[in-house]
Amino acid sequence: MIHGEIEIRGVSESAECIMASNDTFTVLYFAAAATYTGKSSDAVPGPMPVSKLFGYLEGKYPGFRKKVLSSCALAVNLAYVDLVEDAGTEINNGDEVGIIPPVSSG
Amino acid sequence: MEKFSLGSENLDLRKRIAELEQELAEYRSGRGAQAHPTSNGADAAAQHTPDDDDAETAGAQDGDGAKPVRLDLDEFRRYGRQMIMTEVGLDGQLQLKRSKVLLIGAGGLGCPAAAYLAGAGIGTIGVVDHDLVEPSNLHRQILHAVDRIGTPKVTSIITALKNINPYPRYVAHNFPLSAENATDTLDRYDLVLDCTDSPQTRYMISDACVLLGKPLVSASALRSDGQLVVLNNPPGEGPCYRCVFPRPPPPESVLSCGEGGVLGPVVGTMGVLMATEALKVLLAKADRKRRRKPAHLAVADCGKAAAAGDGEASQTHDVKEAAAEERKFYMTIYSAFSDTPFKTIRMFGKRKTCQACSSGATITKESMKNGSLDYVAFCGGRGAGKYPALTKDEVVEVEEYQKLRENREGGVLIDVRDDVQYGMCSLENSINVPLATILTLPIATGDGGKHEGEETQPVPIPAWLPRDTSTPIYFICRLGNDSRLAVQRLKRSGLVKGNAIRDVKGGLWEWSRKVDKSFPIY
Repeated sequence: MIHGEIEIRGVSESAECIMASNDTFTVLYFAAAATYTGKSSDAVPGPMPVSKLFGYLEGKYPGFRKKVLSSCALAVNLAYVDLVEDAGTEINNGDEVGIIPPVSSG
Repeated sequence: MEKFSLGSENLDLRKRIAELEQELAEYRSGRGAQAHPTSNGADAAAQHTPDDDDAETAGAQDGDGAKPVRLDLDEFRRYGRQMIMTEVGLDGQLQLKRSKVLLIGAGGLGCPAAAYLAGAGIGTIGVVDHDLVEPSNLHRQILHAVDRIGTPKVTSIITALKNINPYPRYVAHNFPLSAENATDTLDRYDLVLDCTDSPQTRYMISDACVLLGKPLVSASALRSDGQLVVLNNPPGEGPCYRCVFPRPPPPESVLSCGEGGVLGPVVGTMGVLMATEALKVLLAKADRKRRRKPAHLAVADCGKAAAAGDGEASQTHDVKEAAAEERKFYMTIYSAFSDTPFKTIRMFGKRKTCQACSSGATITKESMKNGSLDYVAFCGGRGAGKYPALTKDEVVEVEEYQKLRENREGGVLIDVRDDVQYGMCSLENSINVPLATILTLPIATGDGGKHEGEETQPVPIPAWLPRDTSTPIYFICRLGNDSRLAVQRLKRSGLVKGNAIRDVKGGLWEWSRKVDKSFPIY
């Protein structure tokens, strides 16, 4: 599921310097995901299949997958995406991806 | 066009007010509603008095919607502002009065949700909670009060709710909800609100609602974030909590409001939204048979029917369309500090492989009741598993540490709280290295230090560690948990050779209680 993350990791930093959103999609971090990354969003070079996103983010933020992402819901353009059933769904440049960890306090 | 529709809506509302006023006049003249065919609320029912609430029975004997209810004159006045809304009406108000709602949790979510539901005139409101009111609750748990600190939250909240509205029947469930008692407790109600604060209760309540066929309004909040979702609605159709979050969060990432903090109005917002969703679910069950469509809409419908050539066919089509529309499910997420604080995520329905609500579900009432479902284990084990147990010589009591400090043997005191908390209050001569920083230290790989394909570079020693091998290192935090993690983690890093590494037991909380009472507890 995480194959291919290495080469993606290789281009990430330089690709992010390009401000044009033509080459990237936006990842929005909510709750614990925002706490872990220390920011509310990232521009990620796309396109990319859903199945590779968590691997990419793990490369950017070590430990992210195990501590946060493993239990998160994922939404692409405000629609829930299942990590298993929709693994092949392509995230296109300009898309907005939400990383939604379960919040359980109250 | 806009003008026209507003004008006719206005006209319609006026008509509605006139109708309700006429009903009211008839009540006053003693003729009651029997004389008026549009008033379905007064069929020979005993008048409900505000004092007949019962602490134990939630009226389990009533079939759903079977009990005839009526409104007395005070209730007309009390609920008038919402009753004149098309979405409510007399039929809606009677449906609310017929309804039995259970709130699980009388805290930051439960208080505002309960206040609005009581205000709206829900017939029976049950509250489950086993905690006592504490001073740290009051910034957000708006129904509790200074003079009820130390009393059970359920009695405190019901006291407040009766002050808002004496009409509903209030039921106190002063015990912790468990897998064993969940189905029996929930079964007496029509709708459940999950206002709890842990992953295990969220999965448990969702499972119970699926098994009992009850819709569930679930919300949560931490820091400046909130989530809201209506689950198992309509029962058997909508997704459950396991469908949305099939994998529980790792226990070490789960923070309570006490640990992570929470902004009062953020959790309040979520609680208020829960009340709205609860009313929507209940009102959808109201009997609208006697409702007339506003004139301009009725005309539009006639046009459609004529175009279809068959009135009945068009109606069936409408019903189908409406049903398809009902099957959309959404989750609302709230990020208070974002420029666009609300997002609504379109959800899929049930997950095909869901353990609780799919056709292949393995969770049953029996497995819940006999305790074979271990929700704590599912969510990663007891809270204690989250923090390592330390040996005796890795721990120092606060009084003992105070003596060491007096003798200038306090070594390096590292406060592992985050910078915000450290900025609020700290011990003299302590240094601040947040736990998050300590957790990023490398882990020693053993003798050879070989790591597949990686060159072993000498890891730079962080500036905050003592350079000698004799200065002891002490970790402290707010409550004495994170500091234990820090002790364990620093040892595993292999960066410290020889220095004693110890945890100041019980943290600043204990320090304040036993050494320096002037040190703030928060």
